[in-house]
Amino acid sequence: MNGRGFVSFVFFVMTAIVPRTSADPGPVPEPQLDLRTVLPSSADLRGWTPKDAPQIYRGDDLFLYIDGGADVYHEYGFKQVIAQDYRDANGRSVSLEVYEMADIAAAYGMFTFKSSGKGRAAAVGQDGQVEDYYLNFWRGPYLVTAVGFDDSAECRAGIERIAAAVDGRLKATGPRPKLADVFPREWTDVTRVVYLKGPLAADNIYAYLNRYVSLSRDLFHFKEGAAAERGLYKIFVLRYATAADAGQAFAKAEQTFRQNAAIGNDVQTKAGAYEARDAKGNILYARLFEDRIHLVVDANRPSDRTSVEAMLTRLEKSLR
Amino acid sequence: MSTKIGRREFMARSAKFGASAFLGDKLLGSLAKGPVSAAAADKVDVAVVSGTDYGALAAKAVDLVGGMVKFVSKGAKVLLMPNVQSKNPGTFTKPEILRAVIRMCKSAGAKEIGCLSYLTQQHWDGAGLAAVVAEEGVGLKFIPREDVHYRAVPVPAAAVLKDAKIMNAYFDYDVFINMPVTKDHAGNRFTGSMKNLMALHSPNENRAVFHKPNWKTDPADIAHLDTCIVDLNLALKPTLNIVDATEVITTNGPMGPGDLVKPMKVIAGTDRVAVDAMCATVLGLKPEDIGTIRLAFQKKIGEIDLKKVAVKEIKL
Repeated sequence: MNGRGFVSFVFFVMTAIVPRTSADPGPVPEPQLDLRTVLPSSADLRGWTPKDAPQIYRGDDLFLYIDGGADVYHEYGFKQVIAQDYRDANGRSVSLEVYEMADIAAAYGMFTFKSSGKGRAAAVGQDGQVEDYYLNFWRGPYLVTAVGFDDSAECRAGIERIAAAVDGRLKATGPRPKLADVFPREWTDVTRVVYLKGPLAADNIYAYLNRYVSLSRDLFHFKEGAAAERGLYKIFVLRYATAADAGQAFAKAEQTFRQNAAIGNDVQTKAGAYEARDAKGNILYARLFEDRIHLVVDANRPSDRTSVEAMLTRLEKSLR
Repeated sequence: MSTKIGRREFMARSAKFGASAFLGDKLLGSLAKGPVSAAAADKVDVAVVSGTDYGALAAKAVDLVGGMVKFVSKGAKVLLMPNVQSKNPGTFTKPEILRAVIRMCKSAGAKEIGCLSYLTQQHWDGAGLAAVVAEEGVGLKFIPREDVHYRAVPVPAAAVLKDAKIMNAYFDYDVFINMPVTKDHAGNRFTGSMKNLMALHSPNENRAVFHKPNWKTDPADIAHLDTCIVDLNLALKPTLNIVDATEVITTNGPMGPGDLVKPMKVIAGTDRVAVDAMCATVLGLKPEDIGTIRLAFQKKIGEIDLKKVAVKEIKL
C-alpha cells in the first residue's frame, strides 16, 4: 500500500470548511459581555491582587495577543478575550484569561483542545481541569484559563482560587455538544476527547496529515467532529450536514483516489468503507455511516482489525 | 516542592546568587579568547549542551561551535532575536540565555547590541526579557506595524514570497544572532530557528501573505505557510542560531499553556536546517515530518540529515 494515499484520504475527509477563519473571519460577532466585570478583584481573592491593567482583544486582534497562534481559536469561533495578571505578596504570578467564544460549542471545543486529558477534575465551571501548572474550564460560551508561573503549592492554590472567583461571576451555562458524548461509556480507557470544528484541531490529534496531502481544498465540509484517544487508537467521528453530504464526501474521496495512480493502488475499498496504511505504517479504517464518517487510526503493530471492526460497529450501534 | 519554570527560576536564582553569577567572569574570559575545549577545536556544526544552568549551557554551546569571537568581531553591531511569544512556561527564550549571549557578545567586543520587536512591552515584560535587556544596557526598539517601517527585499528563488518585507532597522546591524525557543505549533507542528525569522518580517505581511487569502487552516494553507517561512529564510541568514530547548511546550503551541517537557538543552549552530532538525529530534519528532525543515533542505538552505553534520553533544 502507498501510505501517502491513505493519509491523503484521512485528511481529505477531515478537511472541513471552517465557518470562520483567521485571515477572513467574517463579521466579528458582537461581544455579549463586558469581560472586565468577570475579573476578580483583590477583595475576592485572599492574597492575590491584580497587576497592571487588563488587556482585551477582539476578533482578528487576537493575533496581536497570540502572534502566530490565534488560528485555532478562530477555527472554533472567537469573539473576545480579557487577560489579567495577578501577583501575591511573595511575587508569585498567575495569569488569567477569559475568552468569550462564538457559542457554547466553540467554548467547549476549545476547552477540549486545550486540555491534555491527564489533568484532575476541579470543581469550577463546567468540566474544570487542573493540569500541572494551569487550569481550564468552560461555562456556556466562556473559556477560562489560569496559568501559574511555577508549580509551587501556593501558585496551584492561586490558580484554583482565581478560577473559582471568575466562575462565581460567570452566570452562563449550557449543554456540551451531543457529539462530544458519542464514544461509548464502556470505553473507560479513552484518555481524551476533543470536539472538532475544523481541520487544524483535527491535525493536532492525528499529526502530520498535512505533510502528505496536496489535494484541493474545500472538498469536504464536516459540520462538527469528535476525536478520542484510546491507547494507540485515534478515533474520529465526523458529522456532515446531511447523510447525502457525508455520502458525497466519501464518494468524492474515492473518486479522487481512483484518479490518482499513486493512491489508487493504495486503498482497499468495499461499499462504504476504506482501509489503508499511512506513511507512518498506521492502519486507517474508515466507514460511512448515515450522516457521519467514522475513522480509526490504529498505531498498534500489527494492527488488530477485529478490534477496530468491533469499535466501528459499536460506534454505529451507539448512534442508532 | 517547586519546580523551576523559566522566568521564575531565573528570578529566584538571580536573587540568591546575584544576577550575574550564572555566567562567571572566568568562563566569560575564556570564551572571549576562543574555544576552551579540545572538542571545540574540531569543526562542530551543531552543538547540544545539556544541564541545569541555562546561561552556562548557552555559553558552552557557543563555545563548541567556535566561540562568540568567531561570529562577533570587535566593534560589531549585534542584533539578538529571542522569542517573546508569551509569558507561559516553555514558550519564550529564557532570560538567562539572553543574558549569557549578551555578555558573550560584549566580551567579544561588540560595539552595540540591540533587540527589535513588533510585539509589545507587555510581551517582553511578561517573558522577563525586558528586565534583562534593561539591566544589560541593550537597546530594545519596538517597530510599528505600518509598512513604512519595513523594506522590500527581493527573494528571486522564492516559491511564494518574492519580496520579503524586513524591518528597516535590521539593516543597521552587522551580526544577527537568532535565539528562538523550540516548541509545538498548532499550525505547522514545530517552531525553531527558521520560523523565528518571522519576527523580523512585517506582521501585516505575515498575516496577508504567509496566511493566504481565505486562510482556512487546511493542509494547503499550512503548506503555504511553511513555504513562506522557507522563502523568508532565503532572504535572511542568521550569523548564528542559539536555540532554547530547556523547557518547552509540546502541545498547545505556540502560546500555551500546554504539556511542558524539560530536555534541558541549548542547541547552537550556523546551519538553521540542521539546528532545527536537532531540535525536532529533541522534541521526539522526525525532521522529515516538519514542512519547514524538509522544504529548506530541498532549497539547499541546510542539511536535514544529522548524520551528515558534525554534532557535538555534551552534558555540563
